[in-house]
Amino acid sequence: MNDRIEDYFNQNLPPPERAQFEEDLRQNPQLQEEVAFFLKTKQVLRNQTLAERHAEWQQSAAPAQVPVRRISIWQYAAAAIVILAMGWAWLWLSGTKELAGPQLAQAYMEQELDSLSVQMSGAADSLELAKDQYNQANYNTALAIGEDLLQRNPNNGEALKVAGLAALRQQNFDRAIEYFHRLAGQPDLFYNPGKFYEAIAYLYRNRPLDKKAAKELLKSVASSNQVGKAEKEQAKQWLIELESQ
Amino acid sequence: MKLLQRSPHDSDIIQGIRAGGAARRLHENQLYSKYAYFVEEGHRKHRLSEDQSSMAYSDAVLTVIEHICTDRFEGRSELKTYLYQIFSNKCVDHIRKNTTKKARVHQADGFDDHYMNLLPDDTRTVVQQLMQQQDAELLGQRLGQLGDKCRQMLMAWGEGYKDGDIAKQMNYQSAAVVKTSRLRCLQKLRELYLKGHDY
Repeated sequence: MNDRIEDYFNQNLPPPERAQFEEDLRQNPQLQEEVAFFLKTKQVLRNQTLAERHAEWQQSAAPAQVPVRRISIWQYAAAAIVILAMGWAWLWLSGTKELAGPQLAQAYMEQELDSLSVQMSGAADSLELAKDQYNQANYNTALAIGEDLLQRNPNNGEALKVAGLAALRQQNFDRAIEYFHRLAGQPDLFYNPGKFYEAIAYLYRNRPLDKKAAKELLKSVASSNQVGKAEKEQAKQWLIELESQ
Repeated sequence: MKLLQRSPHDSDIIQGIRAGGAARRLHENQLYSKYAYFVEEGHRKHRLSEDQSSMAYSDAVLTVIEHICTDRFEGRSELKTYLYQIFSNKCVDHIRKNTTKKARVHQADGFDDHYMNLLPDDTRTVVQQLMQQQDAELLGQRLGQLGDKCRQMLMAWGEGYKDGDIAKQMNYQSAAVVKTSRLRCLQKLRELYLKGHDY
């Protein structure tokens, strides 16, 4: 088993070795097979772990579902008094179990937009540099590079996306919305997540009319052919959640 | 009195999982119990069966644990929110499985797309195709045929335990020794697998 595989997936290879590994992977069927085996093994181990843990968790949760504990009247009364006395504080602290728009947006960003795919071509490319800065959480720099690119080419879809996401990370909502809106207006892109990202920005900003704006955009995304299946499903799911709030 | 027991703070849970060692399992169980009410929401909102919703929740908890261990969870959102987002995604995966025949080849079948996304675009398809050709069932059987130590080590690695933790738990000298042994086990597994598969 090639030792580099694990280091590659743990992102421990220095950039030149990483680029070399990727080049080897393109050319070498043996390495391709080894990588596939490495990932398949991880997948099988993961599935076995899930089966074991699920069974274990189910077993430990089971006794709690059997309401056979006997509680006397005075215990009920004491519990009721405690609950009443702590009522307001409890309500205040517990809040609602439904997740509000900003939380949905934040969680999605952390889960799905934490890093952008960077081409390891080795060429000095501003766009790749901006993405790299974004991936390293240097959002200020990523935004500055993105805006510089946009000054030269205002319709560069990828630059609009990176600049918008970097602005959103800094909670510079107005600017993020502007960039995503411009991205959504690009007519010639095969894949265009502009409206989807604009909806995320509205959800995150959470001003009085933002939820309505986000819902309109998400409705459009849910029936659009310009985004991937995952974004469409996500839009539909959020619409259900926003409706129930 | 159980009624008044406070549920553990998210920060304690995260710290406990990150710290590893014997206490990690305890904190993982606390995480599972703390938000187990999501299962009901999956059942109600996504109209999944209770079994499916419960499996989606276990899957989501396991994913969050992996993300905490590998520092992919950076704490920018609350743990609850993060878990809920992943749980919702898992529910959607189950809905897709219920409604699409493609479920059999569904790439994200409990597996984290993160690794696939690290590959360059032009190699992803070929690796995906090779993975689809590989027989998960046979691989699972071969895993069972490995020696106990090898199997335990690979399972612990699969759960995201760091080599240092595995060294302590299995009485190895150092993390480096575990890494070498683990890669040898992986190689042994591959040889066993290839013997039983025309590849």
